Amino acid sequence: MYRKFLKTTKSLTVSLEKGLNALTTQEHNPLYFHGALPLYIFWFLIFSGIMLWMYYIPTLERAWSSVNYITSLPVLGQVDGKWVTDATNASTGIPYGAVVRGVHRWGAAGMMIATVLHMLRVYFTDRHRSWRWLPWISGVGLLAVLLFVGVTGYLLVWDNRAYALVVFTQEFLRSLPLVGGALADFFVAGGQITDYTLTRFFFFHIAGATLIFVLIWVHFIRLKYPAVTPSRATNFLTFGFILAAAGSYPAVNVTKELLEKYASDSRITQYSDYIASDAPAHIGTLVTNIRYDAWYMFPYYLIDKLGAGWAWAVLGIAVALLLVAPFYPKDIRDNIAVVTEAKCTGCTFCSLDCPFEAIDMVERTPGSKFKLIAVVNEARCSQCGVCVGACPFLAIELPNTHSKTIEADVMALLDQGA
Amino acid sequence: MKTPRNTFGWIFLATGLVIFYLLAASAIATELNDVLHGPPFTSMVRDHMPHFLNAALDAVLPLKVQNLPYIKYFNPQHLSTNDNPFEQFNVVKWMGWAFIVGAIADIGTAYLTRVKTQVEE
Amino acid sequence: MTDTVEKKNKVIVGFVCQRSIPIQDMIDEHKALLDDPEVKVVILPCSGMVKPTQMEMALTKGADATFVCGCAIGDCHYRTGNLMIRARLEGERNPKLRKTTDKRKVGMFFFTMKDKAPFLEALKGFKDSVAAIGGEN
Repeated sequence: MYRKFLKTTKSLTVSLEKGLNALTTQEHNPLYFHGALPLYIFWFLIFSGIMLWMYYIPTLERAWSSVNYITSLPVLGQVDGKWVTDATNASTGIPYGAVVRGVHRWGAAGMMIATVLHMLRVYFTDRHRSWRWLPWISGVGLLAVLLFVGVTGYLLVWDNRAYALVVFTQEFLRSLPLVGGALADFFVAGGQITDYTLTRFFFFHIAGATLIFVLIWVHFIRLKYPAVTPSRATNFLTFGFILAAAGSYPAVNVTKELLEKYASDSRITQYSDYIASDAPAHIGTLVTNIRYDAWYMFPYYLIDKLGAGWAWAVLGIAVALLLVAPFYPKDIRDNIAVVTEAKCTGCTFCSLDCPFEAIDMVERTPGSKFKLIAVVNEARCSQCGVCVGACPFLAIELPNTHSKTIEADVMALLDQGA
Repeated sequence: MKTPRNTFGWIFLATGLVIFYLLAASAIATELNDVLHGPPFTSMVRDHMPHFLNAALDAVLPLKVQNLPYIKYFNPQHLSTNDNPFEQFNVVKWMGWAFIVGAIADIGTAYLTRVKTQVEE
Repeated sequence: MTDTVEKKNKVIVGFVCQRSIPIQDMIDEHKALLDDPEVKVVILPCSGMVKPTQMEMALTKGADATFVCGCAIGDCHYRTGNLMIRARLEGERNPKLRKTTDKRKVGMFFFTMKDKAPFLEALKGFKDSVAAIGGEN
């Protein structure tokens, strides 16, 4: 029944892609670049993050105002008929600061959505099992680290929402037996919240992003010629959407004071719908009606509705299911590629073509006729036969789909035609 | 199915390139215009630049944003970011839409490239 | 010197990936296409398993034309199999087709499992162009 479910999901996915193929052609179908897309969006996050980093101050006192400085609106007045910056508003912002933060914010949402779609697509087309277990497991790790990096990003703003998330996280960690207290203290760098807390969050955010690179290396290591960037048209679309989103919904801070002062100025009131930062955090004052970002804060929704214990259980079971997914149902592994030593000349064609890095070229014993021989790593072999297609010497074969059988089949088809 | 795809391909490519130009040029003009025609470049740098370079810049960049003939459809007040910093959001928004349209133009070129079904074609 | 076999019927030999078009539902018990009995297929786990020499053998042993059908470009179940066979047939990757092989008779198609009708249409176009070659001789 599980196999039937996988078959149905694959059929639906292929139908969707077939429709898109007619519109975009196979070469440019964004859905065929579902893996490269999160990585492409990650570059936007890195560059916008570095730019935000230039102005961010990780202390309790200055964190919120430094973010506000980057992103506040250029509030204007008119003097002698010319627009001038409002001298009474100290935080008049950096040109394009709100756009850069907008790119970071919308890029983060885009990367999580693209990652989840990638995961679903790989799962629905049954490309996660058996020899593909390492990309899948590292992918689960990547999803977890991405979630962590996203949440710590929200904490850096140090507004009411950030403080509420810290309180919920500490409760969540403390509920763990034995290590809970120590973890909760490690999370905020001590027994209480200090300036070091923000430094710790900053470290989590940047170190987490670096860890993503490390995990991506693991993610790719068993894949030859991985698609690291989508097609040009997909890149234009992604770049365009991120810029259009950052321009239409820039991460501005329209505070209540600004709204009151400029109530008649539509250029300011038009941005009151989307507010990037809540009011600054006050330690000890917990504001619970915060805005949830569904893509990154769903664990907190679980904690809120179910309590810490049940939230741990649900998340734990979900992660466990994800981790065992590659190992069931098992594949029948009876057609692993076999090298005939006497025929192998060490030409490397099979090793160069193997999609899953399953063939190594190993030096033969000195004095042999040829220098290298192909060696198949059986655990990595996908039984696809691409190596067989590459070999000019009939030196590597799939036992149940032998080249001689294929030739015989071809001759039989031709004899029928006679 | 070759011929209808060719027609669509040319339509996508041509209109895509035109709209890309309109949007991208508007965005760049709104931002860069006053940079290259206003301080600090007017008195300090452009006074010392060779005449042919200045002439080339003036030919490529409209003298002011309002010189772009179609700008009234995007920017009714003809303001640059020096006049009104809020225009920065329009600059980014138009650039974004420009690239989305650019993607359509790119797909147009893919339509024009025939899908090969024979090794020798 | 190629074999010259007296044939009553045309035969086109196709090497089809089992995960591309729904080939198992498209053939009879003699591995001929139900929609076009002149086309007979060998089914393989991946189009990347096809050796160019096998396609050349089909031609020299009497096939009027030969083709490979793999998954859609960008969607090979084994990631790069279709890219490998395309590169081999286009001469960009070893092993390649021999220079003496008539490349006009070598076809390649890349389709998804929902593309039965587009495949048959592309196949017809291929057959028509191969037939036109015969008219030149």
